[in-house]
Amino acid sequence: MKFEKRFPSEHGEETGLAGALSELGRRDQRSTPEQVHLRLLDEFREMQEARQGSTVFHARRWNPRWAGVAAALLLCGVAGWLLFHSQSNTGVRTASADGQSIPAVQVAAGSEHMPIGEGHTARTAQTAKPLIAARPAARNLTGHRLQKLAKTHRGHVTVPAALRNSLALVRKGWIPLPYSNPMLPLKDAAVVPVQLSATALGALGVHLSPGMTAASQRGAVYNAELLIGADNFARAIHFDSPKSDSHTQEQGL
Amino acid sequence: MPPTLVFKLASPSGCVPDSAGPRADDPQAEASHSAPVDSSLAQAPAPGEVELATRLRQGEEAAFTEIYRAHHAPLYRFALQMGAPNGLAEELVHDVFVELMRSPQGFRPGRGSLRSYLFGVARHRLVDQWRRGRREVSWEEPGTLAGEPPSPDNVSEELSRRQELAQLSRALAALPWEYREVVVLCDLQEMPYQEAARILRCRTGTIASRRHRAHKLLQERLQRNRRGKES
Repeated sequence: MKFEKRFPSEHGEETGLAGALSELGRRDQRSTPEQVHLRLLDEFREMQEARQGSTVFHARRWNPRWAGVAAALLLCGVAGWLLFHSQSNTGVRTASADGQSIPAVQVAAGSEHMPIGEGHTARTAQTAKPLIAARPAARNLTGHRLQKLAKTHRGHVTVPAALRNSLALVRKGWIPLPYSNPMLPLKDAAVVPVQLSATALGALGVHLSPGMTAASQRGAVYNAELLIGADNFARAIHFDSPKSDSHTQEQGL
Repeated sequence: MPPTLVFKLASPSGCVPDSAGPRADDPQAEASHSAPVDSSLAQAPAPGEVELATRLRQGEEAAFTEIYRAHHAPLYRFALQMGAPNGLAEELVHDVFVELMRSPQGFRPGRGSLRSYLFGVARHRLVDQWRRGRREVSWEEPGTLAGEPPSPDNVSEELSRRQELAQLSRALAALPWEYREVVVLCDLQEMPYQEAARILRCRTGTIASRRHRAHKLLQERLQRNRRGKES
């Protein structure tokens, strides 16, 4: 009413237009084709059947949020396990399996036949640089087993660098020492001739045969060559021949 | 074969972040972008709708058919009047009812009528189509303007009336989206402002002002057409 008073001409036009528009709407009798309804009915039935068939599944439907949380927890667990596993394999070892300190021999390069005794220049693990332990499989291999293993798996497997270095040493007549770092390249190593007692050899991880042990009890020392790695730790040993204490004394050492 | 005109749809206001933003000539359009729907707009559902919805949730096919029979034609016409071609309009009706049968709990009787819910879904789908790049859709002239068959006495009157209505529908098709949807809902579908406001998610005042402006635009276009014909 107010609108009509304010805009009389417009009001008349507006009413006519509104009438025309509603007539347009009333005359428009278009309708959805019947096949849409039929298709919808088919889908409705299928949906109902599916719902009835999986009532339990729908009742306990997976919540995507919880599935995501579970997946994240699983990933964390796997990552933690892998981290722990890698640390146990390549982590720093400060003690040997029997709880004793790890023997480490440091020899000044260039010195000739330097006698190394127990507690002389050997450092305990607490004072030594952290040693990266060899892989258990490579650490426990003797030279013969290493060669056999290399022969068996030649061309079939990719030999890791540590094992490859150890094999190269064995081929040249060296005995790889345990607790050394087999990953270091051999080209940086230096050969140092030394005289070692049986006790010192045991500290290096070299166990003598019973006959040699008996000889060592008489104070025998052994001429050997130590291969010193780039980290200044002994990597491998090469024996010449056993010498008696008297022989050493004769040489004035 | 009815003649086919091609026109561009304007950005549907209040739902599509158009680069042009709200129209400068519509001060209320900006307000309607962020305007929440009035809680007072919640229209009571028609009697029996609550029961129908309950039966539909229980999986009763008869309830679904009843709802379909009541609403499919207005929805189809709404899509066509908004500029969708026949195929798209059928697809739209299909999608709306699939949505209803998949999640009947989406319709909450406390928040409005079933019709406003279905129209809201339909409008949302139309806007989606617009977003997907179907900005140019063909407008098919309503060649099936039904009505009483003209008697021999008023044939010429009926024909001129039909011509006028065809002109009106063409002018309607050229309106910007936000005005056209208001005219379609309030004038062609004869919905109250409150229900239209609920579907378009804006205030009742916005609907009233848009409708008024749309009528003005329509009148201007019709007058321009008349002048062009006379000249």
